[in-house]
Amino acid sequence: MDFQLSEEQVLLREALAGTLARLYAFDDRKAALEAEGWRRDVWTMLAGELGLFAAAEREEHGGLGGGAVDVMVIAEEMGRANALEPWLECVVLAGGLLRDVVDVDEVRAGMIDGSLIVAPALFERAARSNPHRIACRFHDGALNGEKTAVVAAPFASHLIVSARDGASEAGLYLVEATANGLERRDYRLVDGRPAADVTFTDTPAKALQIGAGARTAIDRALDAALAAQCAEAIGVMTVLLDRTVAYTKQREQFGRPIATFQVLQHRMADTAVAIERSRSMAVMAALAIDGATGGNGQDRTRSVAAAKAYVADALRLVAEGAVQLHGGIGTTDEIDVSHYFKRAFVLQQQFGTAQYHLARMADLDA
Amino acid sequence: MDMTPTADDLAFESEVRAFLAEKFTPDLREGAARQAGVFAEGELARTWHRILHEKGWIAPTWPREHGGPGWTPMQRYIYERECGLAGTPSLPAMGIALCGPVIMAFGSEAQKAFFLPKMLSGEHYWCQGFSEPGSGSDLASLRTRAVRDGDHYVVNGSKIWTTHAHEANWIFLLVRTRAEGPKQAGISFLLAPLDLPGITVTPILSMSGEHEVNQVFLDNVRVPAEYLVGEENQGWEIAKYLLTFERGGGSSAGRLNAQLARLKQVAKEQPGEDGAPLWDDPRFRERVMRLETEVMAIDWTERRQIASLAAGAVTNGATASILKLSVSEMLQKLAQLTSEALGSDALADQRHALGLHANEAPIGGAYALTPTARYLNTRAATIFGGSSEIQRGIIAKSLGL
Repeated sequence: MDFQLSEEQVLLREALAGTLARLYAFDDRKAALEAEGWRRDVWTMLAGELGLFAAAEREEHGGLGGGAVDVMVIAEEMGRANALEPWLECVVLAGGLLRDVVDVDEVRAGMIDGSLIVAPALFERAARSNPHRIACRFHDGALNGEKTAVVAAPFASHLIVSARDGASEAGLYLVEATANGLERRDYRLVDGRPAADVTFTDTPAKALQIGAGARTAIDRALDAALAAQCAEAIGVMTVLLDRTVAYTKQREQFGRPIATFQVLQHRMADTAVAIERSRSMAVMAALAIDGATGGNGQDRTRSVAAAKAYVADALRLVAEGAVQLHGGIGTTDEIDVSHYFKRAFVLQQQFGTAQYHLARMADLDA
Repeated sequence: MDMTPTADDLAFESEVRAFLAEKFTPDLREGAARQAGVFAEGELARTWHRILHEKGWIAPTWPREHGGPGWTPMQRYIYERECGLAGTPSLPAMGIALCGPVIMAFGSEAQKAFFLPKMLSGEHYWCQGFSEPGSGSDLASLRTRAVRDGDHYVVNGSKIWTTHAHEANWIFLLVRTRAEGPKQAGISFLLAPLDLPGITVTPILSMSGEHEVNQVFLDNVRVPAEYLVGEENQGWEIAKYLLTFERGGGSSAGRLNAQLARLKQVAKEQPGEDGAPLWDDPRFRERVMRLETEVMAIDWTERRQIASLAAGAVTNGATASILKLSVSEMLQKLAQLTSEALGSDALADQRHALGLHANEAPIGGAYALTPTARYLNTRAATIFGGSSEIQRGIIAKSLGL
């Protein structure tokens, strides 16, 4: 048993923490939110100077050949900074979807060096978080259908779209963002990040994977994204607790710091318990992705579903508690706590709610 | 025990329904459906206020002598339930519901004659100057000073979380008029027009991006002494009286049941992960039923309270706290589950489609417009009007603890 990060992982974490704290200083982050909702120069820096996008990619693809634990380290720091850039979607998820695909070296290389932005478009309004209920169709080299809440679609260079072909086989398809017949309705998510509903009308697309390969790629990549999401949640929750502890120690009512009231102490203690247990779940999920839990084959899906279900509930407990203990100021746009609250809200639901993942677990046991 | 409505109650219920069917027009319904804040935005609130005033129903809790409808507690309950179920605009409580009863109980005859009719007509739009940056839960520690100078009080300080101060033209203030002695004993209740020199209102945006609350700065504001309500240093007693109205004044059952119905509607229209309506999933239905039982528990608690008021009981602080705590947490739970039911549309920031003058369509179905904004906005419900922690403290105290 070894739960220690490697020396390289510790160095990565430290380097990232400093840089991200600088990049996402509250006022700068807010300015980015009010402008485009993301920053290309930050994206380039995450890719280039920090080399984050190569972490989990295979060495033969120009990556660093790292595993889910490396991704976990990065994700936690992204969460701690409340980073706006769509690393989770356009690197962890997109990279996972492309990993076993041959003949996409150029796109993969562009994704790794940050010059291309590949937005996964897997979900449809009629199927919520279930990636295998797909109504989009692929026929004669073109796509028809709609995908919802596609994060980063407003500025992506490419989309990876799931669709069914004439034989009703699921497949993954690569679409250029400027392709004919691609229409977007752009909007922001609650946490401020740009997304779009995307409609395809006879949109030219290139097949990446069809059938069992595509299904496996979707499951694997989503599980990896879910594990990363849990780790990002740890970063978000840790900051929410830190801020709450600091605020309650400084805020005085009834002639003393409100942190001295036992009822508040206990609420923060419950928060700490939830975070500690969430961290264990995030570690378990990462190790399951790497096949290092010592379990069996179906271990991965079950572990990841359990982690997301647990962490989603913890996110709500921690985020709602943080706002409550901040009082009025916690409900305003003027303090970072509300921005972390909104990120926590999105993380709870994106890629499936606690209820969805509990149902997945229950189905595995049926 | 018998809660069967009387023939009079049934006739009254029909009258309310007929009124709402006629006056709560499709236009107004459309506007009300686009609101996600605690109160309807000013323009809509004014319109609906005027309609209710014309009917004589704007002040359900007021006695006939002051221009109220003189309803029984049961009639008030029926009226509020029907309005809640219909989804009428949530009117700002600060004037009619909060300041009005205070003026009736503590105001001079001149104040009653001057303020109450203007409150009814809507000419005066009120906001509440209680909390300060340094005084939230510990309200009695407030530091905004009012110093008597001839026929005026000179007021200096700042009030915060002032809902609709940007819409209002009057504010009622708790001010410190004596620095010595117990902090509760040096507070006065003062009214002020917001256009007095030295008053500045600055917006505070909520996390949903909406502008409902403000900070109000008072810089050497000269308030005529005739606007003092009650005696100097009687303000804390008045504030406590007012807070029982803020916490447990009306009936929320209608509004809660309307939110519950909305949740069920969303779950019936929104597909689940298997493509069938979410409502077909017994696991989800059970979560809705759990909330429904809680709404029932609140509804019947309100009915019991109304019955005891009808029997002549005085509003009890602990009951008001039990209801405030229950209703605020219920609003949060309903908003959370409704938002969750929306699937990916819950993640969309709908602020460009919210409000009377929005010209964008919502992301997803029309019912996707407000739940997530409500989830964000109702975070404040367990904070304002005395936080849940304060309410639990009051309830504990009532147990003799």
